[in-house]
Amino acid sequence: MKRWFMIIISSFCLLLSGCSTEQGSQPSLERLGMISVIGFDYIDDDQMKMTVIMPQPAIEAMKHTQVITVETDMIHKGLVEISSKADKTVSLTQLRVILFSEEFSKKGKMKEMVEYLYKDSEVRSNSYVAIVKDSVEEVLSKEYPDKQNTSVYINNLFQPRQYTYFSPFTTIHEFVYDESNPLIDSIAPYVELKDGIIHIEGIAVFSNGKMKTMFTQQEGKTIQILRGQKKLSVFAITLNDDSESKEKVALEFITSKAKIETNHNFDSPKVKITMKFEGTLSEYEGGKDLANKHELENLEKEVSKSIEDDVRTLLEKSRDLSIEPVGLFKAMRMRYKGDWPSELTQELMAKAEFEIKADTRILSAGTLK
Amino acid sequence: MDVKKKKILNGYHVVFLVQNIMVGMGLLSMNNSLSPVGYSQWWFPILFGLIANITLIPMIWLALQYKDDDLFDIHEKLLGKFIGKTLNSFLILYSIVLFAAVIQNYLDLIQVAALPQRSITGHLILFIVLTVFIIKGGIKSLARFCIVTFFLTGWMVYFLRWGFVDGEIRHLLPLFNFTASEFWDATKKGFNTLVGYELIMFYFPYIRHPEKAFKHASIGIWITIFFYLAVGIVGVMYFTEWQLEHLLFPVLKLFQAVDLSFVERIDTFGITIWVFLILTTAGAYLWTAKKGIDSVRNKNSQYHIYVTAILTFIIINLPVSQAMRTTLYENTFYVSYGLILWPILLCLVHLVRRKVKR
Repeated sequence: MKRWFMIIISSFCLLLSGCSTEQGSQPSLERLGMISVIGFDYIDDDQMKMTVIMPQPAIEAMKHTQVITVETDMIHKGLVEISSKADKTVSLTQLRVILFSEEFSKKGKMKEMVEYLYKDSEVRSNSYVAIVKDSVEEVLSKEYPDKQNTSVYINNLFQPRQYTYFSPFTTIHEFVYDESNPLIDSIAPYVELKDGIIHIEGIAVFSNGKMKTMFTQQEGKTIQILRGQKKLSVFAITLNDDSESKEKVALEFITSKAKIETNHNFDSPKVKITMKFEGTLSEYEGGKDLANKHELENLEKEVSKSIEDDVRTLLEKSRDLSIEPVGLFKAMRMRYKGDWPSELTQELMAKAEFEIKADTRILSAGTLK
Repeated sequence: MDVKKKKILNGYHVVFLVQNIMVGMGLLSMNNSLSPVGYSQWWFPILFGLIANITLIPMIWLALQYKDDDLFDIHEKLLGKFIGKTLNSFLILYSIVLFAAVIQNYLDLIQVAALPQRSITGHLILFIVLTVFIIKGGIKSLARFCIVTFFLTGWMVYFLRWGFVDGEIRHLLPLFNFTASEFWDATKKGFNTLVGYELIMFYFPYIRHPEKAFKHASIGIWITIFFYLAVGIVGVMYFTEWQLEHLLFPVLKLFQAVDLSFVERIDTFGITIWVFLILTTAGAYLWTAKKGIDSVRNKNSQYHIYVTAILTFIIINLPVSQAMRTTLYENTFYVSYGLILWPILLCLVHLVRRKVKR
């Protein structure tokens, strides 16, 4: 009897403690403002403009998202200020996307912020980061009438999809990983507000925590291939662009495989890149008869050649800009004694010789003859 | 009840006792503790496993010479009543501090990772009460709880899949990219992830087949090593050296990498399930402390558990600075290394005594 009494009393003590309305205790779910997107704009070296989006679950609300902008010098100080402007306690537990303005990332402040968010155990390390061409505030506070709500729209935009494989879709973890890896420079999607909607324009490439340049979608695709992306979106290539025998080819790759080998010679490094593609020809515009085996083979060769040229151009461009977004020398580190300095990567990149080989196989040219 | 040291532990009990007591907070930060050796850390669990297995030999040999005695009794028999009891008192203190350290480290993490706006006092009381409940049933109850824990938590190794897929396998080479001082640093910090198997010296008299205890304990150690190796490899693949060095709990980040369509924040889920692993480790130290008090007072009493629990609660709530507390806990973990090596000395004393007697 006594034991039962004790059990009942203790269970009540435990359960009723949930009803406590004590100040400062964990707020209930309805009182939490779950920030889903956060954005940073540059003001000066000390101050930044922080914009957040919180979904509004209340059906009576006219707008489905709440957008708040504050000027601050620290994230958490900003969050406190946002809390005072919002009717809820803000929380970062549901943060999905973090946007930075181009200026902000060029000043090198982005690395600091991402590292801060990475340290915060509230924030998921698989939240996406991206760079916005102009103002982040504008992107976040703009109305997108044909979209369900801004929060869902931006979340969906940064989910990897079949046709956006050219974009790296960098998460916080991946950004910190690349940034702290002396063998590779980090990349992140680069977006722009164009004609009222957000476009993924290409990829931003970083060096020592600062955004260095922007690569186009096509270059982004090449980087993704070299980084080992197995699935690729449609690959549209224009062959013999300036001559009369101009051809337009669109390939849907089923598989892509890139192998990077090095000669382990630090004085005269040689990098051999072998790529294999298997795909279907989804569109073709040109003079070849694709039913003819030989002509199809020729087309395969021309496509391979074009990819090889793209890769070479990208590597040369990277060399000129002193960046290494691919990680070409990872295999060399496997035999390196001691800590690999990032200067060594630059040194190797500057004197590396590239041997690039692509092999394309068109599995089918469609169902029409 | 096991107050009379009845032979109650079967082989599988020993396997899971050894295995579960070892796994605790250490695994969560293992990659970080081993970070002085950078990427080469992934094979260190194998080395540690070998060290553990070798140091197990004197423990079991000594225990086999005194089949019905635990380490507390052996101390009194080998070193005399006075020295033995003094030493046992230190061991009691050591067990209590470790019990407190295990609980507090875990609750601190829970506060940071899962319940940032709550105070831990409530959880602390609940945790201690739960441990007391487990230990009230004696060592067999703890062993059974260890078996349950293994099946409730072991499957979490599947969560490493995402880290493995995203990781870079080339990080596994070179194998020996470190200096002697880095190696020593990593071993010193990292070996505490294995601490716990030495408690076999305390529950040895309860084992039904003592002659097979070495085999069972070794199985337990190598099951643990399998988990450690998996975490080690995936950690090295998924993180850079900088991340390994700066992330205090890399396993949490590995959990965050899990991408499932129907559930999010696996890290919170994982860290809360981890409570079972902490309960077994903490329970083992509470039980050891209780047995120690029994032996020093020459009296078996369940009240010793309550006294220990209350004492632990007080230690955790003592108004000392965090830095001092951390120093105390860290140094207590180093005492464990001494305890692991201690049986070697006792074996020598035993041999000398036997010779003198003859």
